[in-house]
Amino acid sequence: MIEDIVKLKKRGLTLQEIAEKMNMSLGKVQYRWNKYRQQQVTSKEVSATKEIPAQPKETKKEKWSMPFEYKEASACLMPHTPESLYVYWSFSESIKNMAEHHFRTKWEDLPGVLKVYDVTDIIFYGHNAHRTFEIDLPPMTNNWFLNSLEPDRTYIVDIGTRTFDGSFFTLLRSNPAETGSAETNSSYDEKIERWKHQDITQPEWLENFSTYSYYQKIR
Amino acid sequence: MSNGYFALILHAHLPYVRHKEANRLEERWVFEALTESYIPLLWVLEEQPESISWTLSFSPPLLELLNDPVIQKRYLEHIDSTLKLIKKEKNFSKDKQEKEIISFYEKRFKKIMDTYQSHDCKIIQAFKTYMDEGKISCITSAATHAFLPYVQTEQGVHAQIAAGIRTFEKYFGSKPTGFWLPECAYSPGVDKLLADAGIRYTFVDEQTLLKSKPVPSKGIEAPVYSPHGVALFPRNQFISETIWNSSVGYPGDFDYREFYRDVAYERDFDYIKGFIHPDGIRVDTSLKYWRITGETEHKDWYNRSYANEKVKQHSTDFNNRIKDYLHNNKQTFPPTLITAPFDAELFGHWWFEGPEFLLESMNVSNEQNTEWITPQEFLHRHYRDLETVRPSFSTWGRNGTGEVWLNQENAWMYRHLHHCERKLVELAAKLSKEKVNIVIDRYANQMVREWMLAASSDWAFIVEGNSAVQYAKERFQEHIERFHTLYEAVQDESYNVNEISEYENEYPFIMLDLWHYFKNQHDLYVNTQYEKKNHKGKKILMLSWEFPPMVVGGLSRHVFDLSRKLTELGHEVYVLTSAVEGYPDYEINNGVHVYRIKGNQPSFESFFHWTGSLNIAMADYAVELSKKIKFDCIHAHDWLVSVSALAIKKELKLPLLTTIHATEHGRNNGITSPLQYEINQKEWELMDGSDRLIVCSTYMKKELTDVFRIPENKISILPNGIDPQQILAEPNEKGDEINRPDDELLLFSVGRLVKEKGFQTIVEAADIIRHKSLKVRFVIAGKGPLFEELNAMIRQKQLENFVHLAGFISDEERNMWFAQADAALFPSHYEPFGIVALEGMAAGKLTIVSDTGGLREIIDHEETGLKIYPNDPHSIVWAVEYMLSNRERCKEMARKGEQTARTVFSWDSIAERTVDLYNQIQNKTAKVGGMV
Repeated sequence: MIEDIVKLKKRGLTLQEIAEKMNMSLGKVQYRWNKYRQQQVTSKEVSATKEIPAQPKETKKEKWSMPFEYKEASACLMPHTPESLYVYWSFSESIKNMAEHHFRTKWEDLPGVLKVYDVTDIIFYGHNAHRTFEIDLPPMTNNWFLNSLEPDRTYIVDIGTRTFDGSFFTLLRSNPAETGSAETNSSYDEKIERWKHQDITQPEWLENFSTYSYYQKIR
Repeated sequence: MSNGYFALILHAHLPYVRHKEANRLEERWVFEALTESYIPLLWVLEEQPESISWTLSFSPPLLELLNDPVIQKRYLEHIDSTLKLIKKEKNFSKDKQEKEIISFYEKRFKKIMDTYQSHDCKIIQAFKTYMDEGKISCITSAATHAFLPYVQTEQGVHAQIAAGIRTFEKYFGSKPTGFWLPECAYSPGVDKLLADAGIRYTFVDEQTLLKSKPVPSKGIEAPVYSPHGVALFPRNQFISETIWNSSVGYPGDFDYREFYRDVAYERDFDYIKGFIHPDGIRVDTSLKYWRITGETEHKDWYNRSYANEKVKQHSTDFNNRIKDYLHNNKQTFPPTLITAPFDAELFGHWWFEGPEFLLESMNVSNEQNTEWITPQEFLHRHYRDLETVRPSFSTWGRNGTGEVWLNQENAWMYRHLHHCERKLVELAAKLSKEKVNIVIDRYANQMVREWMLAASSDWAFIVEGNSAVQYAKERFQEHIERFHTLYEAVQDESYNVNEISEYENEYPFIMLDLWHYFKNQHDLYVNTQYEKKNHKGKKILMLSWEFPPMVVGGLSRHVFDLSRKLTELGHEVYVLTSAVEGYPDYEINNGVHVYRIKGNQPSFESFFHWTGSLNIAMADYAVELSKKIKFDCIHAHDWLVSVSALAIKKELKLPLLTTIHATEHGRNNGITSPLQYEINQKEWELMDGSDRLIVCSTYMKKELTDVFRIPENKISILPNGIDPQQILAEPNEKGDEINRPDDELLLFSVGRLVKEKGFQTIVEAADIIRHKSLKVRFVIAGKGPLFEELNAMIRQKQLENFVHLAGFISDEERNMWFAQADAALFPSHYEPFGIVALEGMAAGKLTIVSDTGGLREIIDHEETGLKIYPNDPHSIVWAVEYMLSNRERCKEMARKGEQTARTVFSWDSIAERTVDLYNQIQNKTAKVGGMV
């Protein structure tokens, strides 16, 4: 019980508030708290006089708090509706530095641009999309709902900037994601036929999850 | 007998709302659901007809909550308190009708207490008994009811599924064959992981089937198989609507109990305060005395006999609808199946009379021979008769899409969840190297728990809605923060038993081994491959944009020769270079690790930006490799890798050594175009940011100190090396191809046909020589932009017999020419080093070079070769005449030249000197090229 009181106290609650929260009388809470404080003082004195060295490391670390975004290079594209996808991203310091270095321009002054590639049924290598379009991003943007997409297509999104001569320059590339079906499909599907007849070992459609591995680029 | 079947599925789920401290508001969700739904469902099971069986899904958080002794104790107290309130109400009430309702509740709550106590508070055990009797078949769901399509990694999905199944097993003693997909959220690939976990069936929305490819020929009248063989049972909207629909559904009937009016809000505060939240917040007591009455604020008393009557009517109606539906959808085989899944809490909690309606419907079905079937039984009978289709991403939420769980309000959550997943994969990869410390093991498991608790689909759902938003946000943030605090403790090794025990006690959820789910085959494999090798040599990260087979200039060959020599000396070299079509992206070539890397835009039309794109990819790759390979230093070559070299240096805190092979300033004799300026900048930034610079000649060193203002003591001179083996001509191969008179002099030149190589001077010299009637022939091999110009020059001056442009030649052809020639001639205007001159010397030929750049330093005039003035045809003529009149002398010079090339310029000695530099350099403050 005293642990809870201490915890709540640390969260900045008054004894009155703690009493209410814990469904105890104020007197009880006060009593417990004072007793605890006395114990703390004596134990400190004891440790001061006896010099007990091996106290567990009480390094006063700053408590980790949930950031707005993580300083890592990633772009994640997520399915949403048959006409929309969601992408969020973040940059590492390293990528920001490299962009600044390559363009010799301050990060804040580099225009943010998002490029959408329709990569349905192709192995995309950066230049062979069926269709692409670009969106100029407002500053400080780290996510976007991509609306008005076509159903049943596979998309990839790049986050990048624009060169002085107007070309798009990729800084981050997302995983591929599919917009779902919007309507009833035909009664025949080649891909499922090939799959059923085991003509192929891997499905010819996108499966959602990445077998992410930590050492993915190490052979 | 009807034409088909009806399948009822109830999915019971609550988020994990157990808190160590008592009286958290959200804990009441459990109490209310127990009181109104779960216990009344036990009563249904007790009385349901023999012929009926249905399916009940329990989510793992709910299983954990209902089996938690703390929750059980608190629930008993709660019921106790409710019974006290009922007593007080009895005394308080003056109204006859009200008294009737109160006595109804009195009986009811006593029964609840009886039921709960008779099962020793273990109501899951009670459900298990009914499962064993065949009255229900029980299944489960994802560990914390995560919205699986929005879990990022396969490991994460696997963990959610597998931990869910294991939790179920813990309480039911066997594995479930079915699985409730949280929010009926399906996406391609989920089915694979379900199938891998031994799951045979799950539930989706009817739209999921109707929009599948191909569209199932039986529509939603039969389940289908997903590509990986999991049976998907479609929710029948038409039948579900009778209950779901808020305006026309049965639960909205005016005679049913009103949910939103509770005595908690009707009584004076002083009267009720002992029965509501101790903070004085009025919360539902479950005593609700009114019926819906109508669309009015004024509510009439709840009347049990009215309500019972409606239950009868609605049950009959429900059965009629089922029969009509089955009648109208006559499908021969397999028989039509109506799948009707609902939230379990709908029955009882939201719709008070729901459980009674279920029981009554069962009775009616029993009388009318409407056959109820469980999906399990259906599959048992008809597993051969299902089609296979591939559905796309869909849910049972609004519009069948993900929009309820992903929208402006809650989208921010996913980056945190995904980040946790990747950290878990990382941790699992690191931990699976060795035997895991028992405390770290607990930390890792608790981290998985925290991620799971944060990943519950409830939080995103609640945040999208409007009640309990604060709680959902706080819980989410709490778990994310706890995750990272634990992670940090593992990282900085401050982990301890006390801390982890405290964390476990706070949320004692699924106390199983969990982190192993985040292992990955590839990572395990890498761990076995990279076990501590005791290696004395250096590990060098070599950055060069070109590497064989890509050969643009001398750089490629240089990096190749240096790398394999370093390898021979016992060092490990990892070369990052650009991708070449048709060549492996990774190979071990002569012991050198070669990674051929593609940027994200490998066909960038601007070469400058192409390098930028390549550099970003290179830096990323280097950092990835550094997870297992502890590099000692970076060795970069030329400006093209400037961006990545500096970035890697900073990121990995490594010393950087750079070889400058040539500069844009030198090549162009100054900087004129904007592109040259950019390159010049990159060169300077690279020089400035490197800890040590290598140049190949005094000439280049002077260029760096003069043009770039680089301090002299930062620069080391190491000549380029050559490998004499590479120059040897195959003796018997096409040896007699060139028929030429004995008295003719043959001078051989090779190099890229660009202005600074000075080949045009040869043509001019040939013109003079022709007029002197000397028997001399010049052969110029190589390709390049100047080819056409030189060719035109030769034809115009009619020098075809004196100058021959051989075009591109192979190494073998080159060696053959060297062997045949009397001298090698390199009249460059600009040459930082001049590896070709060394090749001429190593081939044992008199070597004639311009007295410029690095060439000047290679040749000792009239000792190891001859020097001529750059850009001066007469000087070439002079050399030719010298040769003609000093034949013996020239042979002696060639011999000495060969000697020099084979010793001073051998790769062995140069590689050793390079290693000395590796040993010397230390990482100075990282500089990153920036904006100038």
